Amino acid sequence: MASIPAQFADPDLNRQLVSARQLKSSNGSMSGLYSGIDTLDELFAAVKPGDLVEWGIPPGLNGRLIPLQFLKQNIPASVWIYHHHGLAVFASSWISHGVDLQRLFFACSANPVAELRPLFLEDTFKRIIIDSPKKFSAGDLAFVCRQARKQQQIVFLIRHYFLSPKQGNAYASLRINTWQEKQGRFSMQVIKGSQSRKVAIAEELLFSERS
Amino acid sequence: MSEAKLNIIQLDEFDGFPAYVAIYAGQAVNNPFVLSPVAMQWSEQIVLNRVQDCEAFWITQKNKMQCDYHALFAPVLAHHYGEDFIAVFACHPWQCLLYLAYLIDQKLSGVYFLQSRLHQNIYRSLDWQTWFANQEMLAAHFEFVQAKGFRADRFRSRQAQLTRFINRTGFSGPFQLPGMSYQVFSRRFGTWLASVRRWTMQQSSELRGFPWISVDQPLRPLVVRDLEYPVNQWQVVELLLREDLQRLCELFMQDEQEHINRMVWLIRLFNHQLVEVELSFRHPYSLYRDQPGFKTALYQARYIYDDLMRDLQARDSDLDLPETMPLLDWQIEVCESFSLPPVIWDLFGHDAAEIAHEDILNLQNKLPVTLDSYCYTRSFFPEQCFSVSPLCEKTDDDPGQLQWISQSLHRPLFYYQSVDEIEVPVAGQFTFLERCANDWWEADDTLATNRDYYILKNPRGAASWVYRDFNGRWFKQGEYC
Repeated sequence: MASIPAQFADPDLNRQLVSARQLKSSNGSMSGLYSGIDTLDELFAAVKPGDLVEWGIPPGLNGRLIPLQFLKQNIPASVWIYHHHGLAVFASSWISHGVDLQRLFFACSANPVAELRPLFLEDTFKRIIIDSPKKFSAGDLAFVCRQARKQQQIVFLIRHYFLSPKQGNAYASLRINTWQEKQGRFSMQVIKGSQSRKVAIAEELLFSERS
Repeated sequence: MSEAKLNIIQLDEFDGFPAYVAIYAGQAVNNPFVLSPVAMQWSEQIVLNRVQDCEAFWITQKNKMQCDYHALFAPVLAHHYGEDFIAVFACHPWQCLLYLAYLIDQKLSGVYFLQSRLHQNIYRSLDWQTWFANQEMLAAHFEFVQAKGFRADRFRSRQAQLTRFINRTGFSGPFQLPGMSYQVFSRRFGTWLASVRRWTMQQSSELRGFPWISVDQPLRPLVVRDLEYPVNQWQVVELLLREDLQRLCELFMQDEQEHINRMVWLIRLFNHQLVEVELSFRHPYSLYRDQPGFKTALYQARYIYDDLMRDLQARDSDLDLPETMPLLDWQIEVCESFSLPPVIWDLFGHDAAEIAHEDILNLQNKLPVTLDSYCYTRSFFPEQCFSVSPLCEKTDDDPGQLQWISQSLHRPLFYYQSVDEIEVPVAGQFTFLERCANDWWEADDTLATNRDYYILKNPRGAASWVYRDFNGRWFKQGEYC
């Protein structure tokens, strides 16, 4: 006769439900990044849960449309933590780009690790995007990375300046600059990663109408 | 058959979450806190609940259970009051009571939403007899709250005056009266009856003089902590607080149905000053389910403790006091709580897409800032084409949604909520994007609602989202980040 799994041996129904829920969530967790754009997917193929990706995206260059591509297709619960002076989320644009706003939540914080500590201590969100934090120390970076590894989350850290190889980041598995060029196409320059190179994507691929 | 069913569903659709509910239990009501911790006992058998206080919570539960509001509330009310209850949801308590009186008279039972077209039509056809039915009890409540200028005898004489007017003119119900404004009605039949008429008609949830008398929570569990020595380290405070929360949990008899909205933490400082702070939860919080760690409550306490210490340091910076003010003793009292039956907190609350709504709500309770969720709205005007939606609200597929969801493809991801006027840009720096118009048919100056949107690039290539209004002035509204 098959024996009952240890976690269900407890006669307390409530605890059994908790155990079942934990089992369920561990089975259903979504892993890597997927955008549906071949060039991007190839570039980010090595990124796995527990990794931190650092982005260099100066304001005005529309570069955030690239990380946005990874928040379109069947994403797990995700959070975008932003801090832009006087700027708020223009949600309609995100929806038009195909982002599922029932799965992507927003929080405004200048000092995310200090202000939103519980968010990093729990694995509620499998994708965490930290967009241009005002305060983000090396200690904060170490903490976020440790938690991401422990909880199998993918963290995007977006800087409001172009990244340079002169100043490294030991915690990031991939460091990349993105921007939109005058001709319209989007460019990406890998600073740290499996392959250092520059990649361009046609504008049409990012602006295709959502069906 | 299926067509007839579809018609009924369409008739039952309603927009917006109701603010109040009146519940008729058919027997004396022992527990008025059923759908919200804010309740009023209207009569022995009727209670009112202000459900708008828990709006986000109920919307989340509806999405979690993938049902409509009827299927959500009916089992909860049946759990508390048996099968013969009547519940009326509406935007104002008076409207709930009015329609409830009609339903009691019709010997009906179940859950009714006054926002639905079907019930709204019936409501608008109610007669004067129903309208006057609850006014005796209303007068009693006015007297209880000692409403300024209210006199029951004068109120009754005004009612008689109105009755004579109705008999003379033959209007069959309050909605049949010709467009008589509040002022005109007030001059003729007194302010109190005019208020009642306004509550009957109004679309908003403002009470506007309705005598709302909140019922005190009958059981307000309280734990007191007397310290043998002052403590000023959060680590120690946290440890002791955890014990206190465990004691609170015991006071609730380990009742898993009990959910808390608000607690008061009364602290005595080292200088014997008493400070009262509030531990409030955005979504009903269960101590039972958070034990033994009580992480959510302790996070809230930590934020409050940090704020308090910061304020005290700023105030007493010139005094020779310890860096953090030691605490001498404290007490924690549960001020608002209500009971939720097991059907609501079922742990298998995941929807098919694996979004753990329960976890997100719990996390939201632990954070000092809100987690925002957005959805599109049916408007072409940029500021009005989306709105903040309650956390975890599920939007149904709308057959005509494509035009709304695809309209902002070339708009930026972030925008300025308050726009600044900019200098008229030089030709060649900007590219035309689109022309937008607000609801021009509602505006006084129809042309003033027109805007021409452009992408403006500065010499360094940074793009902004700008518009020119009809007067030729330019404004910056967003950045292409």
